Amino acid sequence: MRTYLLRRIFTLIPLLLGVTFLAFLLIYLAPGDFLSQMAENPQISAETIEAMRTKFGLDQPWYVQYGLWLKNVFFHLDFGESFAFRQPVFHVIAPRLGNTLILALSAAVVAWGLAIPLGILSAVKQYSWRDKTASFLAFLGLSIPEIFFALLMMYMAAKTGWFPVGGMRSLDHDQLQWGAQIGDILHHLVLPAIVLGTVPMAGRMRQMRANLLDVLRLDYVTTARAKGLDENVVIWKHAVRNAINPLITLFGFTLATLLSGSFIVEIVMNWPGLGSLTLEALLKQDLYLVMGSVVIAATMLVLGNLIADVLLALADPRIKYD
Amino acid sequence: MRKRRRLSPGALALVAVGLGLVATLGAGCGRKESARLSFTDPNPIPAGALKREIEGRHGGRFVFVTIGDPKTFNPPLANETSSTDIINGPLFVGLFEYNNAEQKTDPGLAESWTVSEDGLRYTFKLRPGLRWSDGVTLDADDVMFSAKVSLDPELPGATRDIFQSGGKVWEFEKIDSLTVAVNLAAPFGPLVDVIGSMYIIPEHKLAEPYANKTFASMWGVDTTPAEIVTNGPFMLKEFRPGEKCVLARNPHYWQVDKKGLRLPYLDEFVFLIVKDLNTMALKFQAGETDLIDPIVLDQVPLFEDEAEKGGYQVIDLGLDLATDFMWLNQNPGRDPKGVPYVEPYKSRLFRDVRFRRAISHAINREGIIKSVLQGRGVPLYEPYTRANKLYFNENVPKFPYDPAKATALLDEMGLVDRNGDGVRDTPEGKPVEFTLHTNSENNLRKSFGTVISEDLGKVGVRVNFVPLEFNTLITRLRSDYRYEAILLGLASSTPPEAALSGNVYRSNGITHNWYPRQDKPDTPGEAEIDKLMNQLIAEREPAQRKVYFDRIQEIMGDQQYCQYIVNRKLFVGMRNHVRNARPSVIRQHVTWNIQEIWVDKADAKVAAR
Repeated sequence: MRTYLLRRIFTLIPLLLGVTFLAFLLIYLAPGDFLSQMAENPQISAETIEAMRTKFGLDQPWYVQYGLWLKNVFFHLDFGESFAFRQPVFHVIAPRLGNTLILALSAAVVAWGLAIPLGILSAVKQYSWRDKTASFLAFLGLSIPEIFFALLMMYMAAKTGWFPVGGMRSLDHDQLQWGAQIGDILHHLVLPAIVLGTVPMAGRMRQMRANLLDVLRLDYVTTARAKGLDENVVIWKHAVRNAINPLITLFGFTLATLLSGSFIVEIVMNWPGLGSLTLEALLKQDLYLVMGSVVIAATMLVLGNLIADVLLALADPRIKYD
Repeated sequence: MRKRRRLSPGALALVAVGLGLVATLGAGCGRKESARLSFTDPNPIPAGALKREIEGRHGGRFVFVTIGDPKTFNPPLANETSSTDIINGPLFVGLFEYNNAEQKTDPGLAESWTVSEDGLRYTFKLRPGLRWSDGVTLDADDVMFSAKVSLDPELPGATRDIFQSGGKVWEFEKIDSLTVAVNLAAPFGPLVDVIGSMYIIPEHKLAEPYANKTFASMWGVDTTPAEIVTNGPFMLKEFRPGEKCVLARNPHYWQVDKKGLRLPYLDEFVFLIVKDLNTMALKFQAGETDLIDPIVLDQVPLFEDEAEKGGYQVIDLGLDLATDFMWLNQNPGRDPKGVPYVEPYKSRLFRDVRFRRAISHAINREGIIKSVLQGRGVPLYEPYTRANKLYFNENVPKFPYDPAKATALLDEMGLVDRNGDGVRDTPEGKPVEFTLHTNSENNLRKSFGTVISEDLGKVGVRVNFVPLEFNTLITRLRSDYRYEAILLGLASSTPPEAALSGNVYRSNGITHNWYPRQDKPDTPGEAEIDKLMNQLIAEREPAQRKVYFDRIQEIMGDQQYCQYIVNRKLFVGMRNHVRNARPSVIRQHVTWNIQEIWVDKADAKVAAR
C-alpha cells in the first residue's frame, strides 16, 4: 500500500509539468497581457508600460518565462508573485482555497448524505410512490442548469429573507460569539451547498439505485434471505456493501469536480472562494496567479482520486494494491 | 422471504435533522444589531481643521458594493478602480480635494496656495496640527516623501506622466515644516486641480521600505490593518478577500462639522465585494446594501417599480461624462514587414474628411437612443459632454442623421454601386466596406454597433461588425494597428480637466486613437490642435482654457476624426436613510463626500429590516 501511495504521489510530477506547460502556453497564446488593460488609460504613457513589462519579465519569450517559473518552483518552491496583488501567489490563494474546500465538502455532504439513503430507498421500494418521487427529483436535479438554480435560490433568499443573499459571513460576524459565528457561516452555507450538491446528488442517487437493484437480484442475496436473515441485515450488510463500491470510486472524482465546479456557484452566490479569484486572474491575465490555481486544481484532482482508491481498499478486502 | 420489513429510515432522518439544525442555528443569529456607543472624541481637533457647514448624527455604517477585490492598499501602486475606490478619498487624500458636485477644486490638507507671477513657482501651506491616523504629525516631510515616491521612474504610475511641463518633471522643495514649493520648467495652468491627485503618504511608515527597495511589496492586501496609516476620513479595520473591506473612522481626521464635531459621521464604511451584477441588485433590493452605483440602464424601470417598497430612491444623475464614439483607422503607416496597416484604397477613403462626414450623417443617433437606451441619453457630437460644466461647447460643428446628405457626399467622391449588389464601389471597382470592432464585454456597445452597421448599410456602405474580447481589441489598437474601425468609449478623468487629455488630442499621443504617435502632425487640423493643447496646458485662467478647448472641439467636430455617438444618462439607487449625500455625475457618484454622509437610523424602513 505504501509503495502504491508513493508511486501515485510521484506520478503527480509529470502530470503537473504537463498541466502547467499547457496552461502557460494557452495564456501566452491569448492576445494581450496583464498590462494591456493599463494601455487603455490615456494618462499612462507608453514608456511607463514598457518599463513595467520589463520589470514583470513579460518582454521575454514565453519559454524563457516558463523555464524561469519552473526553476523557481523546483529549487525554491516559489510559485511567483501575482502582478495585480504584488504578493506571492499562495498568500493570495490560501484564504480562498479554505473557503472553496468548506463549500465543496459541504456540497459533498449534501450530495452523498442524500444520494445514498434515497438511492437505497428507491431500490428497496422499487416502483412505489417514494421511488417515483425520488426519481422525479433526481431528473429535475440533473436537468436544472446550475447557474439558473443559483439565481433562483438567491431570488428566493431576497424575497423571503430566510437566508442571506449570497456571501459567507454577515457584516456583524466579528461581534458574534464563536458558536454564533459558526452558525452564521452555516446559515450562509446552506443555499450554495444545496445548489452545488444537487447535480452530483441526483446522479449518485440514480447510480446507487441501479447498483443496488442489480445486487438484490444476485443469488447470494436470495441465499441470505432464504436462510432467514433479517431484511435489514440482508440489505445493509450484504447488498449495500457490494453495491456501494463503484460509488466510492466516484467519490474522489466528485470531490475534484466539486472543487472546479464550484466556480459558477461561487461567483453567482458571492462565495469568496478560489473560483472568483481564478476567473478574475484569467480575465486580467495575471499569469502566475492562474498558474498557482491550476497547480492547486490539478493536485486536488489527483488527491481526490487517491482518496477514492484508499477508501475502496478499506471498503473491499478483495482489492489490494501492490 | 416475504418479510420485507420497513427499511430503517435512520440515515435519512439524520441528514434531514442535520440540515434543519443548520438552518435554525443560522436563522437565530446574523440579524443582531451590534450595540452602538454614543460619539466621544478623545483627540484634540487640529488647529487648522477644515469646517464644513453641515449637520448630522454620528454612528452607523454605510454599505457600498463593489465588484472587485482591492489589489493593494499602497496608494502610489493602485491603478484600477477596485483599489482606488477604497484608497482615493476614504483612506488617503491629497493637498486638495475635488468637489464633484460643483466641479471645482477645494482645499484639502493644504489650506492655501500662492503662485509666482510667471507661473513657475507654486507655494502650498499645510494646515497646522494635522495628524496621521496613528497620531503622528503630518507635515511637509510627508509631502516631500510622497512626491519623491510618486515621481520615481522605477515605480509604475500615472503621476509622473502628468506632473511635468516643458519636458521636465516638477520639482518639489521644502520651505518649512508646513510649507512646500513646486518649481516648474514651464507653466502648467491647472496645476492646483491636478496636484490633488498625488496621495500624501506617511514618511514615518514607508520611508524605510522605500530606501530598502521593498516599497512595491508594502501594504499589500495581507497587511495587518493597523499598519496602514491614513490621512483620509477612514482607516482600514478589516479586509477579507472576496468578502468585504471594512473601514473605520479615523480618530485624527482633520475636518469638523458646523458644531465643531469631528467628521466623519459614520462609524464604518463597508465595501461589500459582490462579483455578480444580479446578486448585487438582489442584495440592494433586500436592503443589505445602501447604494447601487450605477444601475444598468435597462434595469432602471425595474428598480423604479420596487423603489417605494424597498425604501430607496432611483436618482437620475443626468448625462454622463463618459462618451461612446467610433473612428476609422487613419494611420497610413506600414508594419515592419512593409504591409500597410489598412488596405490602401480603404485608407484613402478613411483619410478623406468627406467620407468621415458621410459616416456621421448616416448614423441615426436618435434611433440608437430610442431602440437601445429606451430614451435614456442624447445624441453626442462633442468630445466633452454636456455634463462637463467647464468645457462643454454647444457650437461644435455637427453632421447629424441625414441619409440624403450622406448619399450626396459619397456620390461626390465617386463612390457608386457599379455591380448592383447594393454596396457602393470605388472607381477601381472595389467595394466600400469595412470591419467595425468593439469590446464584446459591453452589451450596450454591441447593440450600438449593430444599429450603426444597419444604418451604414442603408447608404451603401457595408459594415462587418465583429465584437472582440477586450485584450484582443486593445492589442490591435495599441500595438499592431491592424484594424479598420473601432467603437469604444472614454471615461472621464477626475477632475474632468482637458489639460489631462493630452494623450488623446495631441498627434503624438498614445491614445490619439485614429492615428497614434505621429512624428509630426498628419493634417493641418491636428497641427492646430497640438498648438492649442500647448497653450491650454500653460494657461492658468479656466475661462481662457475653455476658449482653447472650444476651438479644439470645433476642429474635432469639423474634421470628424471620430464619430461621437451617444451620451448616456446615469442612474444610481440609494436607500432613503442616507443623509447629506450630494450625488454627482463624477465618480464616486455618491460617496465622494463620504465624510459628510450619515445614516438616519430613525428612518422607518431601516427599522423594518
